[in-house]
Amino acid sequence: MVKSYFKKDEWFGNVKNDALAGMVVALALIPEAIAFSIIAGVDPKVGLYASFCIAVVIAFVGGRPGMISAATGAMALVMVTLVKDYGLQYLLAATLLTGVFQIIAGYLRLGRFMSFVPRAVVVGFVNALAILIFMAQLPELTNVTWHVYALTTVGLGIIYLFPYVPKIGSMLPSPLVTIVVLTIFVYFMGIDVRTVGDMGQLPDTLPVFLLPNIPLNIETLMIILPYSASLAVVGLLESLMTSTIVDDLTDTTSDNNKECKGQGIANIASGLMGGMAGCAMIGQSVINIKSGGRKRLSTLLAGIYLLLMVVFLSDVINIIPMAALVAVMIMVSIGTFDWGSIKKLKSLPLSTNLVMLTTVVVTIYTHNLAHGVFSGVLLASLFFANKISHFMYSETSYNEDNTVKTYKFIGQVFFNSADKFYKTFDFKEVVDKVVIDLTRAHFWDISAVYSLDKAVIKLRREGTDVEIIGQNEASSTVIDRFGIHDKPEEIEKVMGGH
Amino acid sequence: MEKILVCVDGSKLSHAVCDYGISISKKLDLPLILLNVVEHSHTTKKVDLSGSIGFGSKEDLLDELVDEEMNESKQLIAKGKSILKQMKEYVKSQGLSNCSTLQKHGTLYETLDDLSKDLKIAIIGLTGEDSGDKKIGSHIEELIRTINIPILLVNGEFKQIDSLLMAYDGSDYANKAIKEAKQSPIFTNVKRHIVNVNKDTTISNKLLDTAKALFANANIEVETKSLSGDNVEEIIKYQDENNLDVIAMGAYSHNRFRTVIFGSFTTQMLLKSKKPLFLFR
Repeated sequence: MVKSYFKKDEWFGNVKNDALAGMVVALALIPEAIAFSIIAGVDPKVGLYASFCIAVVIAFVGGRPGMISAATGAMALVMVTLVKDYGLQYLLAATLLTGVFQIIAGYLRLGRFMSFVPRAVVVGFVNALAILIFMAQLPELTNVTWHVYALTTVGLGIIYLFPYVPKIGSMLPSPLVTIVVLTIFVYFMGIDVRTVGDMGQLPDTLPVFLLPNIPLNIETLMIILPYSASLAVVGLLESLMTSTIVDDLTDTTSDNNKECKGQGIANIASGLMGGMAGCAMIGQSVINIKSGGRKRLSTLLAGIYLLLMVVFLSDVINIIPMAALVAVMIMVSIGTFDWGSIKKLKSLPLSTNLVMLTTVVVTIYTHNLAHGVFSGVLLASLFFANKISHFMYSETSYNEDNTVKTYKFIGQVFFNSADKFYKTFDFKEVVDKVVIDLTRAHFWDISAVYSLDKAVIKLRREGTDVEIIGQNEASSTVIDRFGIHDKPEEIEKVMGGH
Repeated sequence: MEKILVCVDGSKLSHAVCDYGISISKKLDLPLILLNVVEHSHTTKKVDLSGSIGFGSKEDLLDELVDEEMNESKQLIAKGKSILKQMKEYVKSQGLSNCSTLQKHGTLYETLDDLSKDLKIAIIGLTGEDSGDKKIGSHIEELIRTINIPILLVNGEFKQIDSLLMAYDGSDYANKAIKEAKQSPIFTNVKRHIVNVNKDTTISNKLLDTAKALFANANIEVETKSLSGDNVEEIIKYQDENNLDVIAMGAYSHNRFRTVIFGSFTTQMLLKSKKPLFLFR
């Protein structure tokens, strides 16, 4: 329906604040886009075009008003080897394919699987991201003269101290002040340090539509496919995690599946305009909310301001010293990191901390946030299974003449507790009959069913009659589908292996 | 049990809205609910354009925003409570005892949507407290496009409802509305003036005869009139001349796209009518 694509309030509910916040965000986006282009190994204009396209397109099609999307470090890290081995054109093609994957993910409603990502993994993701952004600045800080260190330190000083200046401190974005001050200083003092202009080409025109110049064959597809898949997953993970952060900050909700599709459309637009793939950005979104931005207008204006500034001020941007950008990026890294999680390490259970740290370590080792998240989710699931397996115990009782023994099982029987279930039975004991009471047990999977079968077979072999009572509904469906203990011909098959 | 819902927000129309509620509630012998919606703006007045984020920025920002919104909400709740109390006393003083109050968080639209299955009718002021000089309150358009219960939009002082003007176009929709009105009328003992605007008076009269026939055996007084000219102008003129108390009409078509391009009959009526509008689906 048309109306779902245009809600007046989502656009114009907060015009004045959105206009200002958009400006602050655009100013912060410029150094980020340039820095991430450098990480990916492409000209700064690729990141700047991407940031413009993604910010503008997502304003219309995103599922989370007020969230900022653009070229990001997480995505840039995934594409490094693609750019190095095959060049920019393949990156553009991979960006298009990434968009296609994300749109498909949106239609398949994969957003709901975010519920499998535990809080500890989200924290790990955020921290890993912050560390990666910081590490990406290190090449700019190694093998350089002392001037660079001095400039970076002064830059960070301005960023964090300028907001304390009365009145103008909360009116002028301190990253902008840093860039302006350092640029003027370096330019007029004639200090020989690297500037943005040394890093590659800046945009001199508005972006133009172009199809990637690559051979359209299976070979190309096989080159870009793994990158696109990774980019799609990383992009959606960071976008959906950022949207929960924005949800929390603004006490509103977002539409995850619409966001997935929106990210896809934005990436396709970016790829067609000569930009790299991007996604939502945690740091920028926090800056937007902090500056008062709430609605779609803030995102749209951020993109438009960005483009105007870049195209018309490219001469000025050329002479910005890299040290200024590094200072801004260190700020983004510090602001993205979840410092509270360090304090909480002491009070949280070990398993939670291990999940968080695993996510961080794997991400930093592989430079791919998707790998980190998968490891974290896997580990968290195993811990969970382990915890649940403790929720199973049995009570035994006998009839008056000790000829009938009843095992009453309580709790969850599944792959991780199936062994414990089997070992509960005392096979050495001689009784006429064993009653297995499952009234309060739940059978989850075939491992559970298999261990019940095994126990029943063993008991029968020892000359004991077995009766199973009180299977609750769920248990009986699993047992009916997979169980073999009451089908003699099936029993033979299982026993054949013993 | 169906209920009569009256939405009050402390604007100058709140008393009139309440009066209409009392009148309808008494006539139909249905309970009256006074609703106040605590609507969060989810925007901030504090603007920090420093653009820097540092240690624990997210947490600090969250704390700040929570504090700010908490204060805002507390004020809104207190204000709403006092309005509800005042209105409830007023309702009692008018001799209606079957009246309860309700305060909800969220938007008016969400709240009405949740409550809609228990409601006979919702009565709302056309302009809200925060709409300033605008002719139509901010929530109204969204509301009438999506809500499926009858709505009475009040835009002036209360006046006893004795007559009702209804525009009829012969659509299935209009026929269904008449059948509905016949089976469980919200306005009882009210004379219906049914009009149709069409240059061709033969067609017009034929349509009006159908409408009249639909009201047969309903013990409702009906008068019909064929008009020609501009839809909105003519209907308002007729209403003015005959001093009719309410204008009843089918609400917005659900399609926003069409509305944007062609303008909406309902919006025009909302803007120009001096009398309350009764909107139904």
